[in-house]
Amino acid sequence: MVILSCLLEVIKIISQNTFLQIILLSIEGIIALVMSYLSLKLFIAFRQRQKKPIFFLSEGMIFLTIGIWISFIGLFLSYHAESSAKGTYYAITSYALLYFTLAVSNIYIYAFIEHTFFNANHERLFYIASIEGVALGLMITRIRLLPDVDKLNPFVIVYHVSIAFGIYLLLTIVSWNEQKRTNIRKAKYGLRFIMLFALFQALAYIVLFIGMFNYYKFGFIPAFPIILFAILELLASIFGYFGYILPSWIQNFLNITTQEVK
Amino acid sequence: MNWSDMLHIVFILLVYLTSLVFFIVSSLLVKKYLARRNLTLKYLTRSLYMIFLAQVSMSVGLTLDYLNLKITQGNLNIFIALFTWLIFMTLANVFIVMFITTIFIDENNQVIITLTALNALPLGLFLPYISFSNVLYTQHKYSVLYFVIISLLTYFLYFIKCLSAMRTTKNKQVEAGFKFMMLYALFMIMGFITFAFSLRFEFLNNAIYSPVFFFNQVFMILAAIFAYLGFIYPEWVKRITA
Repeated sequence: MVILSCLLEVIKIISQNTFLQIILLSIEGIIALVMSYLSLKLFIAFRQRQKKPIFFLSEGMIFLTIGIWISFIGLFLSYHAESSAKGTYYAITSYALLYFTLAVSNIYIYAFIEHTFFNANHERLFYIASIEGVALGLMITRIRLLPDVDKLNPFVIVYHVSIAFGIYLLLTIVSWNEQKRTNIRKAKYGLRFIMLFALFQALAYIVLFIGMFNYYKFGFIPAFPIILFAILELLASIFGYFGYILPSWIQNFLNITTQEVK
Repeated sequence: MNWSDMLHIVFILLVYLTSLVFFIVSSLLVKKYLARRNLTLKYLTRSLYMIFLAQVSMSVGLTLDYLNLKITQGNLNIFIALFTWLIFMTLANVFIVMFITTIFIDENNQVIITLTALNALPLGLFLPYISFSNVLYTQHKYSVLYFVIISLLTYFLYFIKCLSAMRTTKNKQVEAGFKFMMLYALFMIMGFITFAFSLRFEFLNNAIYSPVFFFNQVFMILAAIFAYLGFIYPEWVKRITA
C-alpha cells in the first residue's frame, strides 16, 4: 500500500510538469505512428496470404491503433484546454473512447485465438462477442458530448479490464503450451512472440486499471499510465507482428531454417 | 368497475396471455431440442424463453401499476418493467442472431461477431439505468431507439434469409416451414415498430393502455404462433402443406 501511494505520488508530480507532458505527448505520438505502420503491415500480410487468423489479428491491431490515436488526441486537447475541468473532460472522454476501441479490438483478438489455437467454435465466439458488446454499450453511456467529469463508473472499468485481461491471459497460456508441443523451430519462435504479445497486452491492461485507480483516488487522470499503456501496446504490437509475419532479418538473426529440430 | 378499469384488466390479461403463449411454444421447442440436440433449436429456444421472461416482467410491472403498489415514491413500476423488458428482449435478440448465423451464415465469423456485438450492445446501454428514477426513459431514449433499430435490422436480415432460402428449395414442406419462419420474423418486426410507437406516444405520458401497445401484444402472439408452426411443424400442418 505504501509503495502504491509513493507510485501514485510520483505519477501526480510527473503529470503536473509541463515539459514532461510535452515529452510524454511526443512519445505517445511516435507510438501511434509506429503502431499504424505495424497494423498496415499486418493488413498487407493478410491481403497477400488471405488467412483468417491474420485478418483478425490485423483488425485487432487496427482498433488498438485507433485507440492510441484517440488517447493521443485526448492528451493533446487536455494539455491545451482553457480550464482544468475541460482538460479532465477531454481526458475522460478520450479514455472512454479508448476503452471502446479496445473492446472492439478484444473481440477480434479473441477471434484470432479461436482461429489459431482452437477449432473456431461459433458458440464461444458468440459469447465473447456478446460480452464485449455489453462492454461497448457500457462505454457508450460514459461518453458525453458536454463536460461532465465524474462519469466513469468503476464497475464499467473493472468489467472491461477483467475481460480483456482474461482474453490475453488465455492467449499467453495457449501459445505457451503450443510452443512447448511443437518441434518446428520457426513455429516455436512465432508462438513465443505471440505469447509475448499477449503478456504485454495483459500488462497494458493492468497499467490502464492503475490509471483509473489514480483517477478515483486523486480525481484526475495522469498522463503517465496512458503513456506506459501506449509503450506496452507498442511492444505488444511489435511482438504480435513478429509472431505472425516473422521477417527474414529476424529469421536470420535467430538462425531459423524451415528444417525441424529435435 | 367502470369501462376504463375493464379495459385495463383486459389489456393486462392480454400481456399475460402473450407470456403464456411464448412459454408454451418455447417449452414445446425444448422438447424438440431434447429429442434432436440441434444447435439452431437450442438458440431459438433460448431466444423464445427470453421473450417469455420479458413478457412476464412486463405483465408483472403492469399488474403492480394497476394495483398502484409503490416500491418507492411515485409509481415506477412501468419504468422498471420497461427496462427489464428491454434487457430480456436484448438477450432474446442475441440468441436470435446466434440462431440466424448458425442456420444461414455458418462460415463468416466476421459477420457473426459483428452482429452479435451490435445486438448485445443495448444490454450495456440499459444495465446502468436500472435504478429507481422516473427520468430514465426521457434521458435514454436514444438507447431505446438504437435497440429498436438493431432489432428491426436483425429480424429483417432473418426475413430476407428465409425468403432467399424459400426460393431455392423445391421441397414443399421445407418451403412451408420457411414461410412460417418468415411470418414469425415479419410479426416480430411489426411488434418492434409498434413498441417504438407506443414508447414515443404513450410511455412518455404514462398511458400505455392504448391501441398501439395492444397491437404490439397481438403481433407478439402471432409471432409466437408462427414460431410454433415453423419450428415445431405439427402433423396437421404437414398434412395441409403436403
